[in-house]
Amino acid sequence: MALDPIISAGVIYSSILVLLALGLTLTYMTTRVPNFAHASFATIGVYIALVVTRVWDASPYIALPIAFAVSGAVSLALYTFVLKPLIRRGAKPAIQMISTLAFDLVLIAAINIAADYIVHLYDVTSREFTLRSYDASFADLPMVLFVSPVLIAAIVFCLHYVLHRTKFGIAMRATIENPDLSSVVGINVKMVYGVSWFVGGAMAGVAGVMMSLWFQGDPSLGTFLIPSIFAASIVGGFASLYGAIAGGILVGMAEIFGTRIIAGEFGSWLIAYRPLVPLVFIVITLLIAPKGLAGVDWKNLARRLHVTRS
Amino acid sequence: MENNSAISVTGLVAGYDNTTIIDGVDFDAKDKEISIIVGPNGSGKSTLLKCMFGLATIHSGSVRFGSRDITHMQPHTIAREGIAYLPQVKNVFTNLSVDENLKMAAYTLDSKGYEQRNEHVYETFPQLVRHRGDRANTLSGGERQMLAMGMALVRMPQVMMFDEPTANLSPKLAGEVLDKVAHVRDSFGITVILVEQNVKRALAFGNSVTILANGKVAFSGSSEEVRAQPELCKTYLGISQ
Repeated sequence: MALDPIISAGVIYSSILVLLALGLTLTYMTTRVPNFAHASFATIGVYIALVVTRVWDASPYIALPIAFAVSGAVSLALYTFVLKPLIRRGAKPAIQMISTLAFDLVLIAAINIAADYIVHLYDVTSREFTLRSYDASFADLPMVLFVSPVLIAAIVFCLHYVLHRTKFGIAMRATIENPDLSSVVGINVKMVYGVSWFVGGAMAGVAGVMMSLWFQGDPSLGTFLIPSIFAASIVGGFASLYGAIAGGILVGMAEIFGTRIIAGEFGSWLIAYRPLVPLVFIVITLLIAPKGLAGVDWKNLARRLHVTRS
Repeated sequence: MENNSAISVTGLVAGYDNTTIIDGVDFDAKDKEISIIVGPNGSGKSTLLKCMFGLATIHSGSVRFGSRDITHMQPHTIAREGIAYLPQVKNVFTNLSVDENLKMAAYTLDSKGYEQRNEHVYETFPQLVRHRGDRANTLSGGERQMLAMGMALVRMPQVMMFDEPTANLSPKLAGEVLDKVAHVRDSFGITVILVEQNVKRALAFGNSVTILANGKVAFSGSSEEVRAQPELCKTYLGISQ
């Protein structure tokens, strides 16, 4: 079956961005800390996929639950051992944000050490590697093309179900809205925060496994995605999970298709400027709709547009 | 009739972080009675209430709940002990439905008996029934206050603390809310601590009154004693009888 590879690229890349933006938005909504280490949680997933495929010789999809657990645990550790003590000492959001940058540097260094150790121990390439050949195929197309959107849909469904139908999920929504009142009614707010950091990190780990099947793996892979993940979250409003989904799809598609269309019109030299796309999105969103897609009063906007037209 | 203290505060010095707002206060809330805390703005009424719920910084002194020392307990632990606190603002979850709000209020309870207590709440506040599935931000000010009280009531606490429940309400609604406060004491035997600006109305059904001024107790006694002293009413409460 002939499929323009750019469609695969668009679907897979957008799915990965949605998953990463969802996790980043979830942790931001609960603790109000923009987490700059978020993308490196995904890099952990990439390396777990490397070990599972190259060392264990198993399907990369076996790496999904492992990455879920490990990245979730690392994210929980960042909250428990770095952010929680800082918050207790009354650290301002800027200090907390910088502490996530510091944690990211440590994490990238640790991933580099792990990468060297993997070479030393198992004699497999652990830098600039690709795992695409380990992916199964369906109708001559890579499996990840189907798995990634289905997985996103499943995760979004689960999140929605948990947040609206379970007691703990409603408590999470309650805590996001009003942490003081939540502790007044007896909700353990710090535990809710801990769970949201675990889930946010775990989703990044899952995204990492899918990244390993599409991108070239490297310890710095996550770092290159940071602007896009923040752009997706900011476009989504940083305050709504559904906004993060819309933001992820929009920024992901714009990076892939937008760059292609513009390059087609003005010349292929423009492709090198693709990293500008998420930054442009951030600037435009902050200028015209600082609360993102989720903050726009669509009904009111539609009414006003209608009035202007008639 | 001599009652036991539900909550007793002794020699309390407290504030937020390093500041001191409450300066050596003794306060007693008798079991199954309504204790009113009044005083001018900035006298430390709300802070005193927050001290009893672990929401302020206590520098010295103690807070006892029955025989237990709750001075340095976390709010969520105090809630589990059987004390409910209703903040003045933001006292309901606006993005959650009325039902979900009640469910969250009963968060620490086991689900057994929840249905029955839930029905108690809807019986006490019938105006909430038709809004069960609606988000709390669609409720009117009075309904929101009723929901906040329902959220406290669903836990069947031993003590309910209200921080100015009638602020920003019309006189008619304020009256309804205060009637419900009295109803809570009479029907469920709950000890009530009420910080209130609507002094005249509160005095009508309150059992005891504590007047705070500049973080200190200016007067403490029964409602009758307060009403018998017009000078006191004039100086601290701004009411003449």
